[in-house]
Amino acid sequence: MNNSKSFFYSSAIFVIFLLLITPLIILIFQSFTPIDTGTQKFLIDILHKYIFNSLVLLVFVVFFTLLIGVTSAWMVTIYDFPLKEIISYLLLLPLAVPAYIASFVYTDILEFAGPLQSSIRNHFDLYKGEYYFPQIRSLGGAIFIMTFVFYPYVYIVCKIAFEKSNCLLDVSKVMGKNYFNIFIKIAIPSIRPAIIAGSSLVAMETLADFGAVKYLDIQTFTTGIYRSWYLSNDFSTSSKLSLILLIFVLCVLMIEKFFRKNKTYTLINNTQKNIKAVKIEGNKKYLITILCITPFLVGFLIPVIRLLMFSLESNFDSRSFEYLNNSLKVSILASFVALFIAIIFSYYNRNYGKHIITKLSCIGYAVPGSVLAIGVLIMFTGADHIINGISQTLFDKTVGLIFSGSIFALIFAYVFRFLAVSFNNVDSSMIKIRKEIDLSAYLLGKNKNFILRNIHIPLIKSSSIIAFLLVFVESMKELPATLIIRPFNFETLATATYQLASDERLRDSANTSLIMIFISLCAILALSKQIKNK
Amino acid sequence: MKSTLQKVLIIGIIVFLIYSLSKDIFFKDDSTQFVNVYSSRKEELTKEIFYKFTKKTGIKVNVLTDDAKKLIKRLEREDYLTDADVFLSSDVGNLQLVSDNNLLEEIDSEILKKNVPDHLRTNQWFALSKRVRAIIYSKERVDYNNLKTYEDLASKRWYKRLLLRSSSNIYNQSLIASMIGKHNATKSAKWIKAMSKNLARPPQGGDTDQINAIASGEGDITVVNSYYLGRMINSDNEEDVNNAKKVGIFFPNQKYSGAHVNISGAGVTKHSKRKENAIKLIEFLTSDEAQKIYSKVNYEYPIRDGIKLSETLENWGEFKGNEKAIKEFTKYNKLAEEIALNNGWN
Repeated sequence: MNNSKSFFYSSAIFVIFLLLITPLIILIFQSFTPIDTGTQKFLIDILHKYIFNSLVLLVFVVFFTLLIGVTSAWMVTIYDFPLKEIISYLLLLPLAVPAYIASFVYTDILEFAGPLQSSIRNHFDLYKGEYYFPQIRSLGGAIFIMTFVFYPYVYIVCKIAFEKSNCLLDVSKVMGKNYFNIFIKIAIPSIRPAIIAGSSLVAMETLADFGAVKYLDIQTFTTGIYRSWYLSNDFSTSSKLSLILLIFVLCVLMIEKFFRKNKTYTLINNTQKNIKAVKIEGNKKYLITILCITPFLVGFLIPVIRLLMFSLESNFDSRSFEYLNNSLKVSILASFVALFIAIIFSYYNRNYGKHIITKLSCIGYAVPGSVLAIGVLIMFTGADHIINGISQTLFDKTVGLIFSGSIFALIFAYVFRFLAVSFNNVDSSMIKIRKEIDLSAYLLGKNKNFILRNIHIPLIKSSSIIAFLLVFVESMKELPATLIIRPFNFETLATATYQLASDERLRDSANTSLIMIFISLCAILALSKQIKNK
Repeated sequence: MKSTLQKVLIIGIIVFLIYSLSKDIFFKDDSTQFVNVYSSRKEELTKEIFYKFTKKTGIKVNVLTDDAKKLIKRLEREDYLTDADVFLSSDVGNLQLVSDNNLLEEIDSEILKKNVPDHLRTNQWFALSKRVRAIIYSKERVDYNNLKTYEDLASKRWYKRLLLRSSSNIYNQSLIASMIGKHNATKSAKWIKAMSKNLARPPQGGDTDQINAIASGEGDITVVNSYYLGRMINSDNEEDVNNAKKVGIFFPNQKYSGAHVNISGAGVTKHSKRKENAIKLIEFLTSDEAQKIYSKVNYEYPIRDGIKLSETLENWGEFKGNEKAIKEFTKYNKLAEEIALNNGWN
């Protein structure tokens, strides 16, 4: 290995890592500032509430998403029922609906004054208090909404895993046709890594969420951080809460690692046999169709239809195109940068051995947007102050807010937040390119450039596209960090929707919601095509 | 064939990016005069007023809209590098906070001194409109004779009939702060505790949600900013209009110090790079023309007499408002939040 090149390379990734990690370090330092005893007592009181609410949300959302995600992935793989092909795509679509939009819509539909309860009251001639209907603005409501928009994370990883498990086919022949037994005893254990990966994705999303829990008036860490940072002007409390949340998240990740530790899984990749789906006789197949289509209905179709109804009643804001432009701009740029860094990191790991920094840089996904944003904002305004200080001393002029006043800070935040997604995809592909291929090419007289262009790039192209699309969709939907970091005159579709909805202009927010959902939808369909072609 | 589609897409994305970014870098129009506003008022309101200002003076208005507290935090962070010229927000609590944090400039303007009454300005912030935190009640289920004061909302008469927005909202915090100023912290805590027992549902939603909840029967009485009702009465949405018809508005404490009045206002940022334009904008906002728009478009009260009110406001009639207290109660805002959270008003 060329030593000088290796040095250049490792310093490059070290610099990138340091840049990315700075917001977190700032946050950690800030959380060590002392607080007065009054606030301390207040903090301890509410901490119980935050921990309780966050834990309940976490546990139940993960449980229900596993229930829905794993069973639907199984049914779609193993059974043949009416509309199966299209349902297997439809089940992905709730990914296009951000949790906060789902909470706006379902609150409107299910609250006391909403259409469902109003028609119940009118039909049965009931008044308030004479019938029971669960409160949507509650932990239960949040669990319900989050389950149906987050289950696709579990669904997609499990479906891919099921499709790759050819051993199922052979085992089923041995065990006979008791598919329930196969499901419990073989299928679930064999895709354990996928189940764990899927549930940790859902866990991250649940803990990081801000818009939905705020709207549903649930007090969690993210709302507490927001409240103490902005409302009470109490930075030290909010950074302490941020730190606790981070530790929480890291615990979840460690539990995930623990569950994965002792298992090695071999995928028998040579046989290209697809699992032959089992035909169901009689009316049972319609039951399965209904069962499998329900998550799509609840997580996508109902919210979208309600939004379409709203949009017809509202005025179209011509500024929507400006919001769209902004959203696309930052999302596409962030996706490119994340992909670029992922490829650099992945290459380093391949040629110079796995460096822990590459794995550590992925920590961003575990950091909730609202927490990250505070660190990023401080970091960039600090940088701007330093630069202006220098320019003032040297040139007697200020240059203004270069970083924090532009989309630079925003793109940085997105990249840090979603690097994990990009890196994991690219790296998993890179790992599969066996070193022997490189060596054979060298033996045949080809140089490094040739290998890069004609062997590596085509092989990682597919996962690069997947990585790009995933970061794109996540960036489009991102809300809390964008709200905090965005520059002047800059609204994305997400922030515009949130502002309108929280301003009690739900109907007007429908247009921006629909545009955002539509674009995410296109990306998700492209994504599923890519995955299929893989 | 598949790969040509991909190539086209990639080229398309790159072209889009170049176009999008070049617009930012190359085609920025530096020649026109402009003023940058950090505003926590909603865009639909300020749009019309800013438009008229630009038409009259040629000065373009750039707006960053966000929660007041976030904007204040941002101004703190940006310090002398900030690009903001004007801070515009609701509620005297916010205005006093940004002023106390040394983020506003002292202004000496004859026009402002003339247009804005003494008790509605300091030398740093200036009121631009007034609003009342009024009692809204169900016309069908509430006897008008039972409506008296804010303090009376703690009475057992309103058991499970009262609706309130969250105490984290600045309007409620100011109301509580004014109570602390009027009575004291202990009495206010008792008042809140009793009120929280009267709640028909946990505090949730915004002001409009409370009004809708009365119309649908979930509660009978609430406290909201007057202009929310004004908006509903004049809304294009049939449902809003119908709901507004089911409720009435009442100005409490008329026999005592008067109804709780608050303001929206603005100030010039300390490190504004365009102070003249900023002052011009604020002066315009206090002019007759702009004051009429506040009343007509957002159903808020002008800061001085002599401005023609919109029909809705005329119909509500005259009332006594506790305006003199406006500059007094802001010092209790933080205490207000703590007392609320400790006594059952989340």
